[in-house]
Amino acid sequence: MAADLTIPFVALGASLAIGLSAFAAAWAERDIGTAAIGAMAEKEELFGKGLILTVIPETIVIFGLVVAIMILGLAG
Amino acid sequence: MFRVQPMSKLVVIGPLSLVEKTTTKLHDLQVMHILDHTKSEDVDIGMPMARASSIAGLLVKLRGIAASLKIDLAKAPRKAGDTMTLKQIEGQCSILASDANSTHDVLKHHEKAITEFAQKKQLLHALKILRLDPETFQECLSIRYLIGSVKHDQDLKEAISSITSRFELNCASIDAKTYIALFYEHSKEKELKAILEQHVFQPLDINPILGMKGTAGQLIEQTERQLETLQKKKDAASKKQDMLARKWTPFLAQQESYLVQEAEIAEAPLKFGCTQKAFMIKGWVPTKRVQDVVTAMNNSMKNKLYITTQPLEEGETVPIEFANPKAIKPFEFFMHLYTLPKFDEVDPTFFIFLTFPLLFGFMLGDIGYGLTTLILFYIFMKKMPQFKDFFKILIFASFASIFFGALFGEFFGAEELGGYELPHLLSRAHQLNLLLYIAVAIGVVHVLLGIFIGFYNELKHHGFLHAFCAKLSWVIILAGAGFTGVSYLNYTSLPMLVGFITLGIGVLLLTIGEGTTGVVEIPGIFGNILSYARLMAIGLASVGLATVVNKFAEEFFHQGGFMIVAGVVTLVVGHLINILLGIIGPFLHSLRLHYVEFFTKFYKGGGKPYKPFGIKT
Repeated sequence: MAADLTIPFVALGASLAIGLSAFAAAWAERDIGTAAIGAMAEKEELFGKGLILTVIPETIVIFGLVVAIMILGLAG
Repeated sequence: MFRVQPMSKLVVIGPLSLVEKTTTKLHDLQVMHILDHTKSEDVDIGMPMARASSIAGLLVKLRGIAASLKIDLAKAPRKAGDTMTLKQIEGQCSILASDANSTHDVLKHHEKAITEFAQKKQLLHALKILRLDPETFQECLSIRYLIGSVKHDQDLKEAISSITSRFELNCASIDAKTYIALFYEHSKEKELKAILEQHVFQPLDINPILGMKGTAGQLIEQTERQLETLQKKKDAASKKQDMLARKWTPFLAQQESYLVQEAEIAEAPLKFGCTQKAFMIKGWVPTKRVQDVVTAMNNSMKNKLYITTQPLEEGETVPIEFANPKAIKPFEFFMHLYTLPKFDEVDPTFFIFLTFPLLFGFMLGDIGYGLTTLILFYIFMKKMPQFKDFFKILIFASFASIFFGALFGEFFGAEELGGYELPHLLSRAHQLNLLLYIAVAIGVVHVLLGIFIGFYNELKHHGFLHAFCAKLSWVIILAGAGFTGVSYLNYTSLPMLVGFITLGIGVLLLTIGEGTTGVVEIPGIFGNILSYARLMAIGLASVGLATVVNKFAEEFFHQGGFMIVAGVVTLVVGHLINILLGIIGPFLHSLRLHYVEFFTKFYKGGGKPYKPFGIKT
């Protein structure tokens, strides 16, 4: 009899949801962060704006986490 | 509290004879944010006072003295001392300048001599290893010489032999460098130089040591003795310079501050409007102090000035000063970090004061961590008074962490203490879904708060109808989405259509209020609210890490013996790291939730700070 693969696949789905979204957020933040630091070197008052722009993609991970929790929850 | 300090535009007009006295009085009052006058046909820009140039000259002189004595005036402590007249300062500076300059010159002279002698010594060393003396080099009609270093002297002699037999070559190597001295006939110069070039020849200039009497060895000893004497003289000079610097730093620092202030007064008329007989000063004064200023000016100027307030012009920028109670003041730090509010906007400092610590506390939420950070930040605040405001914010946040720690029943990640379970309203580690719902609910409340403040701002500027369409439509949209969701999940008997209709009305109103740009932003608001899920996520990560540390340590403790030490180390290091992450994470995320999710609902910003004349920035 084939082993029941439900649990491993659910776990894999959840981990992909958070892992890939974290990767995407990191990738986006890398570019924004570089540009923000560059702008700050020219004009230091831009720290506040730079910080905000840098953290905007972070929400992607939060969405990933919510989706991961939902996957785990729906699968029981 | 919700508004920045109201400002009034004050105009001061008086006869030119009083310009100096008026400026000094305004400087003392430290209350007026002076506006630059723009030149017009009738009213020109004022001329700086007569003493401005002499003050500027004196400042340059004084800073020159400080530089030659190697004093950093920016870092020098400032003590209040007797005030001197400009003449007295000038006299003192002249005496000091001659002292400082002569010491500086002597020092430079000795330093130059030391460099020269050191160079001579090096040349003599090169001659010594080449077994030559300075006397060897004499002006000669037919014989020339070249002395210097080459990359290598391999085959050099053979190469030269192939051109001429009448030459003398001395070679010697020291410290991975090869020196040569070549004496040759004048006629062969060109060919020989070509050969030397192939060996990367770098000539030494021996002019400084030509004509010295004695062998190279003796001369080296002699030079060393001279160097020693020079070094002693240089040390004495630099000691004298240090002494002068120590003695005069307080004087220079104090007079520099005084002169900077005087220069500010003397150059202030450049901001005034002036005619041939009169001057005019325009500036902003906090409304509550207008009466004081008028009375003070009139008293000291014997009512010879005409002082009046002017109404605010359309589109004029008013300088911003906060008007918050003392407890809320530290939170203005976040406003400076972002951008100051516009004059006619709600000042959100009070809301940050309310919600920043709460969101921070919700994420850190641990009695143990809260206590640790509280003690830590209290010590930091005492040690670093210049960052007092920043640490005060964190102390507020630490209290909130302790409060939420009590709600969650967590102490350093453990939910029980000495075998007794800590009482809790909600267990973060076990009631994950509930925590998520609470986090999103906090998001709804916070975003709604932002929308309501936005509504108030719009109401003030564009009237009720626009404010309702542009801001309250968001509330209707959220309500519609909520209805639809609740009906879909069968929590209510209302049909889903009701939700859809509400949603539709909301979108319609928004289109009227903000146009299509508003409609494009609709998915954004749900993203904003969902973004508050980070309150759960970061808290969960913090609990998770703490639990792991505790489990590890527990394992070590069970093994007993030496392992108990390892357990203690694990506990200390693990929790330290977690506390550090627990400060950075919640701080940045709480800040972000304010700046990105909360502020975008109502805040425009872009105000310029209020800088009263007479207060140093």
